Amino acid sequence: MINSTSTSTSSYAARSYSSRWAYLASRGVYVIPWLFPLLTAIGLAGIILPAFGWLPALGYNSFSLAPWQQLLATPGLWTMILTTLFTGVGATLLSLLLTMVFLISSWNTRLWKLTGRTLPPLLAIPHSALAIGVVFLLSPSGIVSRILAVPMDWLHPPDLLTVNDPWGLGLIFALVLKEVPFLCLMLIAAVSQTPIERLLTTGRSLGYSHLQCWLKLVWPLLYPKIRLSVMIVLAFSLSVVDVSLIIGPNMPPLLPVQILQWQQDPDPALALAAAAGALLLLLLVGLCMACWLQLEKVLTSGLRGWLTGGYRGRSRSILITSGRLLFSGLLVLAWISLIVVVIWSFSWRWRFPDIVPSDISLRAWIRFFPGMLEPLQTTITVALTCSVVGVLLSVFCLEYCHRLSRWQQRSIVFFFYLPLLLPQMSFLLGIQTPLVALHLDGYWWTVAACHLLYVFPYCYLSLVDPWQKYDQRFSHAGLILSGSRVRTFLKVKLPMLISPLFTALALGVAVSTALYLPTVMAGAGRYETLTTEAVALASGGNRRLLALYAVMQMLVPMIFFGLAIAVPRLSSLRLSSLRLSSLRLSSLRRNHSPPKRSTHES
Amino acid sequence: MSLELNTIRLAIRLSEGEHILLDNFSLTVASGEIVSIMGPSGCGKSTLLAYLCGALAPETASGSSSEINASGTISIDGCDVTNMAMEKRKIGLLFQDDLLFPHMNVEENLAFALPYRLSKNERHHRISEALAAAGLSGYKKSDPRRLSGGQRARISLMRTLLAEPRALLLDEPFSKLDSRLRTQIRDFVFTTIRERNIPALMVTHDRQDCSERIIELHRSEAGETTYD
Repeated sequence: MINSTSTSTSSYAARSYSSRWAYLASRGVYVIPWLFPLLTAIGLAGIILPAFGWLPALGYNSFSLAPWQQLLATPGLWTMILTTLFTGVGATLLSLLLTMVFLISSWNTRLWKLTGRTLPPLLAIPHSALAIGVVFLLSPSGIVSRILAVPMDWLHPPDLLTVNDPWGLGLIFALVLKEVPFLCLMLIAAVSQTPIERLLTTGRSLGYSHLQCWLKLVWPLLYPKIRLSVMIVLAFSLSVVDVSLIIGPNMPPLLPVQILQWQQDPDPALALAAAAGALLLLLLVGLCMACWLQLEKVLTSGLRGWLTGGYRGRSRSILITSGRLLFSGLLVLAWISLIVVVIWSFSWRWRFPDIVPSDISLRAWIRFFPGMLEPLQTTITVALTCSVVGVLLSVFCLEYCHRLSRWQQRSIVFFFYLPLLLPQMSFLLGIQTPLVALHLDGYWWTVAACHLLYVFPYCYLSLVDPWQKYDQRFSHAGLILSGSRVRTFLKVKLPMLISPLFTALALGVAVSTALYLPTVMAGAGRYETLTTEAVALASGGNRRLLALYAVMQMLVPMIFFGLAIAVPRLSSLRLSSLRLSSLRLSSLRRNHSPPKRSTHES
Repeated sequence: MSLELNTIRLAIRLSEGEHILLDNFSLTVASGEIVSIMGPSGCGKSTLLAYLCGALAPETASGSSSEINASGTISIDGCDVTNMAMEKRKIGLLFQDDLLFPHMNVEENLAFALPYRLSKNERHHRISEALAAAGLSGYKKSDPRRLSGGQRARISLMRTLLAEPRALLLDEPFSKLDSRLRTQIRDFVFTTIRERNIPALMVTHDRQDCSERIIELHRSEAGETTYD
């Protein structure tokens, strides 16, 4: 039976292979392993060569160490480097710690379920929008100051550097608010693949306290599953530009921000310094990752004695309760900062120290919305284009990459994620150099292509799991019935995976909407999106306009996520109503048809 | 050592009252005795084990939010452990899955169960002794994932015993083993339990796995569980 099925499958497969589309697609997959390493090589060459003085597009035709001399002579360079390291590593460590606190204190509780439901919208909101919310919350005239104004007897905003502080504490706070939800969602996915209940029961039956079981048994198994996400957070936090521009230190700025300023400077010599700075940033990120991984190894071997020494610990419910409160507080703060942004967009008069605006109206929307249409249009068109391409490319890779050898598969997945692990500033500057040399920068499609580099890995990441869980027997049955691989894919597999496909699309839109540097660098300043405008406005004084842009930044991904939930449901409703009507039709036919023949005959 | 269960009652909370799984169930397991509990699925065998080991808090315990109402006292050697936390009861568990921790080697898995504040030499001695008893002396540094099912089952039992439990609960411990291995591991587990004089309560579906005393749980037509 099995043999006959497999024979028929292979004969159909052979027939369908004759179709040109399938053949070309099957050949095209062999290009992918070379495409992404090529892009990475271009990106690296694009910063290494100018960093050593070679940039023919700007008239620098010989190698020299002048860019490095210029970089090292920059006043406050070491402060920039140290602050960048402090904020990046600090934000990552704190985010990881809070994620751990969330896991240990909230697993299998109502908070866990609630968090699972409330985090995805928070994750869809761009970093810059949340950073604007944090500014509205923490700035001297922010909500916290207004609440403290009565007990502290403040009539004017206090003279405190609560945002744009030289230590980058405000930046760390904003990054933590955004990265904790990301790590928690990754953790929730990892938890579903780990027998936590059994591990805890075994550990406790051996006499270990609840906390010790988590630390000694569960966390060592869960952490490797979120290591890649932690590395992504580390790379992002060390090289973030948009959030730093809104809330980070500016005297001196962080290294990535300084690189952007050099890159945008009309003096061509500074472009070489920018390349040297980008290479330095790349080395710093690489060094931090290597140190992080090394520290993991040292901790793993150093803590062996503690792990197996038999220390059982004591049940400390106060720790669990405090952890739960801390995490809930963080979530509440994130939501409050977003709500404040929305309120600001509707407030016409909101004097210090009023807690609520004295005049709420639509005037800001009516006055400023027409001016937002162009950035909104660019945001949506770029986001939709690169998301559709990203989803198509992901589907193509998921369908065909299994034909590649195991090491090829592993290497291409590594290269897919590489843009997320490299500092954006360095990688994009490297990509921009050949674009400028070939006069390809400043085009709409270049912006979309650069967005695609960041959208694609997320689309791929979100589709891997549903694709692996798909039961191939449905496709085998479809292939036997239809005889066409393409038709089976379109009529059987795609409709069954419609929901994850739409989610991947919405995720792509959310990622693209949040991107700042790819638009600025590939667009050569000719294209404005909601994010680039919001970041530019952050240094100005018009809070209503800034809030308006931040609200639109939140709305675009939210709408697409809403559609991603609604469309598959509507299509399944349509299908079930079709099924129902066909069922009614067949029952009507049965009632009016002549008596059935015997089962044998039929 | 003995394990005593007195008037145990287990019931599932329903919106329209409760569905009783087990009522007025009392049992004494003597030291070194292995009592088997058999019965159809859903009669409350595993729930009983969960209550005994402390995974299911008694009704009287504060913060009990499970969907099961459980009551009755559990004593080990005359000491009431009903309201003790799971980690304080000193009741060892053995599941059908060995649950050896994959991030530790065999030696570390065994060391994990040893009591705190033992000297280094004493720890080494006890681990070597346990491995010798399991017939796995050369496997100290082995990765548990590379061991066979039977080897893992033996290590798992030794790990449970190294924690010096005062009673042992076995939840279908042999159901995942093939028939040849099953007999071998069953004999090893039962002999070890008897040698160490630990009272053991085992839940199983298979009569072949049962030892001396068997308690069969039946479901009445009304859905209640009776036993003999």
